Amino acid sequence: MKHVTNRIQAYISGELAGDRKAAVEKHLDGCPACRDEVDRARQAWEMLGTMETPPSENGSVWPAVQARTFGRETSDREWFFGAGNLTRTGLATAAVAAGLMLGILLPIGSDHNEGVDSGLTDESWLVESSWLSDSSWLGGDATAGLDDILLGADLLDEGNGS
Amino acid sequence: MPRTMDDDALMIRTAEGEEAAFRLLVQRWERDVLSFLIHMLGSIEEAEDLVQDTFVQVFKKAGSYQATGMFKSWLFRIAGNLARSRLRRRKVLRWVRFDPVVHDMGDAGRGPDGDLEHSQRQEAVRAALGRLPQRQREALALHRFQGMRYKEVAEAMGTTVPGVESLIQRAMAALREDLAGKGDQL
Repeated sequence: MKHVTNRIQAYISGELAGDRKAAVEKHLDGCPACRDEVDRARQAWEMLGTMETPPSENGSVWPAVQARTFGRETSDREWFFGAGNLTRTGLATAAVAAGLMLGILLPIGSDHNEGVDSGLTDESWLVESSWLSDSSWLGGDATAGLDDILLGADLLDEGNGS
Repeated sequence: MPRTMDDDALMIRTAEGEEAAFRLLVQRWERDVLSFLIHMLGSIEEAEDLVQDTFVQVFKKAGSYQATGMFKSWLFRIAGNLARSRLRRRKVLRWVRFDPVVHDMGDAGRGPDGDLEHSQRQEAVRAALGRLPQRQREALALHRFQGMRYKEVAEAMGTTVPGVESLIQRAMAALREDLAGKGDQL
């Protein structure tokens, strides 16, 4: 006799109909083991149905969704503080990472200017960092800041060379 | 705007840019989506973030929605995709956890004697749910907690009805085994 263990969950979920349901019921009539399994599976199924959903402390998401869809202008403050907690965490992490990058890059530049061997030949750090000169990935203000840095390096080099 | 308007009609109006229709859709479904995402992610905070993202996606894709009466499956497909993406990212960052604290729920109206036993059992079941493989958990959450038929679950998960049947069968077997191993009966 082939047991119907694999159909029991569908049976108690009400997903079987017609011949398939009749076949399972016919088997159950003559199989105490499968009947016990149906009882146990049904208890588990009903227990799962009593699971409660944790209450959300926040209200409707509509104001936030509205702001992101129907284009209500957000102020600078809302841009950050109106974002979800995880988004804010992400932004804060990005800011810290950017700060660390600056902390790493700037000392390399000053080593170069002081003639300390930074592992790169003279001028090469500017050449090898040529991706920096493609400043399209930066905003307008940031680009201006980068130009200032490069100009400062040029002036120092001129000073060293004279 | 009549509150009884069906989801397909609301989606058509949303695609035409009618804010009131979209608002009605969001308010009609946000609770169910939140519940599903909590079961998927095990974190209320993350779930709330993704509820927003889900409805933003619904709005963006409204123009391509086919009004065939399967809005619920379509909606939960979007929510499921976002949840899976979030879980993948968690895995990469090795943040995998199932924080019992975020699942601590109120037991209003229950007597003091029943409080502890009830909440402990709920907690044990939630933790066991969190240990299920992702697709089993998704199928079970959609079927048991959202009341979706196998056909709707299959539509939402991009699989077949027999596939859903298998996922749910295995999920329930694993849950029972997990809880039996911890001296709890499901």
